Amino acid sequence: MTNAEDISVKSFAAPAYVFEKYSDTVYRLAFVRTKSRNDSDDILQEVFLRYMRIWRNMQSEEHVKATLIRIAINRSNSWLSSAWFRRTAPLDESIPADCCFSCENALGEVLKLPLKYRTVIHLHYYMGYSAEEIARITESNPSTVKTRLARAREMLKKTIKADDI
Amino acid sequence: MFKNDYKNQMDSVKPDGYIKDKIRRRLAEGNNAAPKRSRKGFAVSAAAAILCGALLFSAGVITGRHSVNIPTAAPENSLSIKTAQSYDAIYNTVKSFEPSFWEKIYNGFSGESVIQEENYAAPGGTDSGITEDSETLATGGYSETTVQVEGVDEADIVKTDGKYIYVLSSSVDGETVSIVDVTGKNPVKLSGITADGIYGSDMYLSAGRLIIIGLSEDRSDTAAVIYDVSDPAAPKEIQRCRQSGFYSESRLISGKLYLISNFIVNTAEIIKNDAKTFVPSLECGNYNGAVAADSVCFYSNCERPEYTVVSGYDIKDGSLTGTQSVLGGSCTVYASTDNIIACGYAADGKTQVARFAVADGEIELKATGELNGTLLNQFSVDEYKGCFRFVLTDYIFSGTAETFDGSAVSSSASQTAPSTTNSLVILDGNLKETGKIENLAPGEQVYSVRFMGDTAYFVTFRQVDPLFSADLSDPTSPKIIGSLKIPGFSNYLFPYGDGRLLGIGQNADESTGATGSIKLSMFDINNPAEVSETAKKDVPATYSEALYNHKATLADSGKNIIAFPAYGEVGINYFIYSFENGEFTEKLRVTLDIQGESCRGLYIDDIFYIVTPYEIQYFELDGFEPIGSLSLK
Repeated sequence: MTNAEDISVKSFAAPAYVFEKYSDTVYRLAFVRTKSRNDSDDILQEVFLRYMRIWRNMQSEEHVKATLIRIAINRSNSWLSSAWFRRTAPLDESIPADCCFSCENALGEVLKLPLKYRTVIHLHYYMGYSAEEIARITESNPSTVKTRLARAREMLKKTIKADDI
Repeated sequence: MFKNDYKNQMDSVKPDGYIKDKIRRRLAEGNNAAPKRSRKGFAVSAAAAILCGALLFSAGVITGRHSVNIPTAAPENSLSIKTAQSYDAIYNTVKSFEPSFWEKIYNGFSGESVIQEENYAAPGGTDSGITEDSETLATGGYSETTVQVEGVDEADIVKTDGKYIYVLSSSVDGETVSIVDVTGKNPVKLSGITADGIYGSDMYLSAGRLIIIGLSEDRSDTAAVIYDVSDPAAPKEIQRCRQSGFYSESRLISGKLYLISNFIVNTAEIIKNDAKTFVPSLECGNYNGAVAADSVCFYSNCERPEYTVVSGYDIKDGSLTGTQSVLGGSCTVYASTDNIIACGYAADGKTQVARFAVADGEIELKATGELNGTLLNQFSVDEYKGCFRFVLTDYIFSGTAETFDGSAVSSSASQTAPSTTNSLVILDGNLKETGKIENLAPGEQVYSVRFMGDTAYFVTFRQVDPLFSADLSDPTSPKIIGSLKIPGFSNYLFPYGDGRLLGIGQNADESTGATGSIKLSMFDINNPAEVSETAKKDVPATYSEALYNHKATLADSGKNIIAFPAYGEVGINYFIYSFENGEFTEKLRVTLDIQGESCRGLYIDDIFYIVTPYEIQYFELDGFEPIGSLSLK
């Protein structure tokens, strides 16, 4: 099948394939940021509709993944800052997520963190990115990311009795 | 361990299955270039027309296409078929397409308009139709996948042969299929199949073979893996088949599997002496390589570097029995026992149609044609007595009512043209028109269609649901014979016993058209000219896979079961209704422990099974007393 590798160039980036592989990943990131399943549904759709327009520019599978993350973050930013959201949702960041997770567990505590902290925690602990990689993907300063990670760990340690954070 | 805890808890956060289905559908629409609706659809088709130089009139961009009242330029529906003589001929055709076609298309309209498409929230509108099933299927002791045409099996996520239930998991990791033995007193999980290298999304079970179909894992090809399950305790893989392109549809007819995929050529990177870069490829037991040049055809007005690939495989050994490709994509597929009708979007809001004759695995392209308007789904197409019937919605873009960016420029009633109109068209075997009805329900769009022999029933909707009935007994002169206006709409129409048609859809506010709860309707169709709604029932739920996938509903008049999963304030439930003494009666409501994954109901002998990817709950068919459950995790 070596010739077949040429059949569909950039097939690693084909929307249908990428959707099957990364829809959960995108959804989870959206959920961590919005704390709402409904909003995450919408963001998931938006991310892939946008992705559809650019997929042929993808260089590698890593590029695909990073692009999806970036679009998801951008889309959830505009979602969180939208007039609709401000009108209908309390701005209090400490509101519990609209899911049934108990507040004693790890996810519940992460969701209580402010937006910028829970985003880096998720990218680092769940998606396995280093601070440098997070900085590259989110187009921010590596030292800012490191500071946020450290700060987020401290905050988590107050509520989660665990040394391994 | 924080990290592990967090990971485990986060893993349970997943999008609902129906959300994923909706997005998949939209991705598929995107692959076919021209989304169905409104301004976006027009923008794309206008762009396509200009790119290809086929319809180069600048006024078209501004004023949109003419209303259907004006006779169309080409009364001839049928287009000539050109069979490729050589790979060089194919290469030259493919090469003639603009290399950056897709980029141009996608850059052709502003970013926001792609995303904020109206109507998207209306759940049933995207894709739905009707189902059949029950008519005479209740002959055996067990229920089968709800299909459109008897004798033409459709793939699904749960299959049974009356002795074993096969359940396709929706998760990417772990076992792909669980095999459950239901021959004993209690169901027992017998074995499982882990299909490596494929994202299984569909399944067939027939004659000792289980076939898993989906996307290949390493690239976006379509793959089918055939297993010998004559001993379900020890399934054996016997063949893998692959063909280029995204999985579009499939059918199983008399032991032959027909796989239909859409292969988009990257015109920027084709190589003249490497046919695989511009011709679909196949890989199976007895074939490996690009398809022969003479199995590739073109639409005479083809304008996209995208193939519809139709291949037949013998499920005994996975050998290729026939293949045919047409340059021109497809998205809606209808199949009878003798024909596969593949329909795709064409420029200017039209639908291109290809008829493939199929016989024992052999495939021959017989005719291609073009129709005004777009199809809702497979139920919008039907074959009866050598005629092919279509119900279409035509989206009209009138410069007086809407500008290119969609803003209304005139509020004057006299200038407001209808944005849609609907039609019913009958074609012969050469896809030449024999008769049609036009200008139906202006401003509305088709929500469901059901052809039943000489009669067609279809629902259009904007605010109030007209259920039309049409007499098609004379293919040269189809006539609307009745229309019933009731609030809400039906997404599916199922024959339910003699003279009855079951509708599953949603309530809608008569003044605003806003949708509400799920609604069951029973229509009396003893006299097709005077259809009446004899009973209705509001289901305490607002959304259901049954609104967009006919396979989610089990409607069996023989056993008097109307069963489907639905979501609402009270969570995700499986509902079973019966229709007795002229009324719908709720027989069962079970809470399902799923996040929105698909779920199916089926019966075998006197037991009813509700199957999710994680669990099988089972009940007495008589009275629906719970008996037990089996975890599949």
